[in-house]
Amino acid sequence: MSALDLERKAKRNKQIDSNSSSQQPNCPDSIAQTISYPMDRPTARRLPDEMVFRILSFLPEKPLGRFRCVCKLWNTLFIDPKFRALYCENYSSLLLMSYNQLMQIRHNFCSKAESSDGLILEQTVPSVSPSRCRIRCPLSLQSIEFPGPQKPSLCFAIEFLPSIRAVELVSVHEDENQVLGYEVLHIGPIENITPTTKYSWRALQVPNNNSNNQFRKRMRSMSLHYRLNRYLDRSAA
Amino acid sequence: MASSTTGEKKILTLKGGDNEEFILEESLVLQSELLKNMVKEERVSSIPLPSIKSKTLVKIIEYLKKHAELTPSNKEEFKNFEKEFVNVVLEELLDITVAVNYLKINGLLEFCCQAVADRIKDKSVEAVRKIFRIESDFTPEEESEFRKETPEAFEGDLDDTTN
Repeated sequence: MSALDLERKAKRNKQIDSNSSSQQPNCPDSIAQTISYPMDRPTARRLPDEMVFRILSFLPEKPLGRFRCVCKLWNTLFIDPKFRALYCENYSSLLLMSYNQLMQIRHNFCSKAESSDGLILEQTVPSVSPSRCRIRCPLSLQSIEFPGPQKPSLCFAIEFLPSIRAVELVSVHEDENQVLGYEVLHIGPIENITPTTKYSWRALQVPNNNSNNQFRKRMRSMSLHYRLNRYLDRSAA
Repeated sequence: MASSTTGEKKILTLKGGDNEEFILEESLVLQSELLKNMVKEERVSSIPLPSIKSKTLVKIIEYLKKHAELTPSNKEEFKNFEKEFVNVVLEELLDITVAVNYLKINGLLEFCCQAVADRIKDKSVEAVRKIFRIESDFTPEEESEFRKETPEAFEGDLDDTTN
């Protein structure tokens, strides 16, 4: 995780460096064009995007959230890695928080579980029907969307399982008799999963024994996903 | 001996947008990456800067002079100067910032951008569009959706003026 993180960070920095250095040779021309002042048309000024980014990167999150509706370009700021890197410099850790919150609100998703390597499982808020889920990788800014579990979920677990090279999702639900049920979904390049079943939840058979009650308590505990995976590994063996 | 070194000081002419000429020591303009490259590589003695208004150029030269005089003992004085430097109407501040970006005076660029951000942070969306001369490409429906999604970002007394 941390190695990946560092690598990406280095990559991102490199990207910024290469951008700025590659701009240097032709910079006078390109910028001179954008900052020419046509005296007869005073409304024609457009600042270079790079400069707008720089200015906005000094804004606190509230005005930043407001100025997203200035125009479509400004609204894309949040997903621009260069902007985020700049913003990180100016506001350090504040960024990821506000970015995540804003992105979640924007798409009516809220965070449900996080894997040990930083993948985030999000589900649509209850008012959205049918329910959808998505996995987001904040580092690469990628996400994948799929239907939510068939039964209303009490809680989720998400983990990448190297043994099957896939992300495993488990949703725990409860029927009216307080009997727990589980649905599972695998996402990844798995050979033995056909495309039709790839992104749909299927019920998971868990032996129904006396430990069920105890198990449910554990499910709700903070270390849910870790324990759940241990359990699944054991039952698979 | 001292007089001979001053005699060797190179003089450079900058020509502003309205053809006004500014004569200054070459060492001053080395703070600008753009001018530094021009001076070092092309050995020019006169640089036309048609995209920069003379008024803006006067301000920037004023900064270059002050910055060149910066020593640990007059740091406070310089900070006050910087504060006053950006205390101009927003329109002028943007002109300066654009020019500084063009000239690549890095320390000053950061300072100017921060100053612009401070000036617009309480502005309304409409005011910001006017200031940056941007036309909205959102429909009114899309715009109201933004307001619904993050109402807290639109709360409070927002400033509709552009200066």
